[in-house]
Amino acid sequence: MSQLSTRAEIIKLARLLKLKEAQLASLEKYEVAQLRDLRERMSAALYDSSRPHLVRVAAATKLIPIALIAAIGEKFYGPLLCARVTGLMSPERAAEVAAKLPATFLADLSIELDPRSAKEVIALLPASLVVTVAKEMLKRREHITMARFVDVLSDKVIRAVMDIIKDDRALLEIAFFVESPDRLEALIGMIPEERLRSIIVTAANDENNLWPEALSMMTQVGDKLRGKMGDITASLSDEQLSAVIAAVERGGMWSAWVGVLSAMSVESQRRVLILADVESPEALSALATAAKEHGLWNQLLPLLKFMNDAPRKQLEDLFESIKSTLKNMG
Amino acid sequence: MANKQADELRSKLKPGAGLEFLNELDKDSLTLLNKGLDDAKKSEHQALDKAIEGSMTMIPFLLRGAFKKILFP
Repeated sequence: MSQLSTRAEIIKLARLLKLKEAQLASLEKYEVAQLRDLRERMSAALYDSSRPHLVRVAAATKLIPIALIAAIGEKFYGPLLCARVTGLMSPERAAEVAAKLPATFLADLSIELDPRSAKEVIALLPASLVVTVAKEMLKRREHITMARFVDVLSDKVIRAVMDIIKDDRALLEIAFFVESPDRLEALIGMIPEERLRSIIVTAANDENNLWPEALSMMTQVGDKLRGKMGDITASLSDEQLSAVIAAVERGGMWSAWVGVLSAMSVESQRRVLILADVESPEALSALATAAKEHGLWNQLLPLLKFMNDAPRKQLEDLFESIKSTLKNMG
Repeated sequence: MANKQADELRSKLKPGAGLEFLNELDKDSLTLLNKGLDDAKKSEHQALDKAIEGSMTMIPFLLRGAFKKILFP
């Protein structure tokens, strides 16, 4: 699953440096934590290099009326510099300026803003203003930006924003890009079960292969929520569940899938394994290999009892052969 | 050569542990990251200078002196 989060980090780093995602393809093999560290340090280096000037600009804003700050900001400073100055102004004043700016400009500014640097300002913004800006961002499919704000917005405001997100794909993509597992857990916890089911069905049916995003969402939350989403997945139609297993196989996401499988109810595990058994015996051996590679044997072993004789025997043989190889290696 | 570029990039960033993986990156990737950071800094500084200059035209005449004092100490 880490390769999915890695992709998200590469997209964010490319944005920061005004590069194309493909230009940073060589970073794909690194851990998400390494790339996040690199991006955060690069972002800090950029910010620090302009900081002395920005501090003076922020101080100068104390001299002029709010409406004039907003007009100057929009006309001359533009979204990037306004984003940089935001966290240096008094939060109350910055929030008042925000209320005078058009939603399109605030959306542009949000793309450039590091939400953590302006936490106090964001907390003072009325939910109605955040929702207006969120509508603009949804129009532009700025899901990465919206996800970055999940870390700093209150649950109340997040609920208000979720109410306007009617597109399951959009909600799934936003969840995929959320950085903090705690906030992701909170966000998913706020989604009613029916909507969660609808999102999972959408991912399973999607022609553009949204399953990696759905699986990413499942693997980053705690066992209880993962089990709930796993059970919903297991209750999909045979056709949908087969499509999910095929997507897992295509994406080589077996270790993530084992993690979800292990959190499901026993009935759900049985259904998934029996279906996988029927549909794709190769999938089972890939699953076993993933379990070996990621040290997940213990999660997979108790599930073998649900399988038909042939593939179970195949897996048991595989386990034995790996065990003896390891033994021979000392 | 790549290690030299990795050191160059690290020297531009906040010191601290981590980022050892930069040593494994090829020369082209390191050039791209170094140049990307330099270009982004340069364009941000230019935009800021231009914005400060432009904003002065909108500041009421009576406040311009105080403004300049803060912006150009």
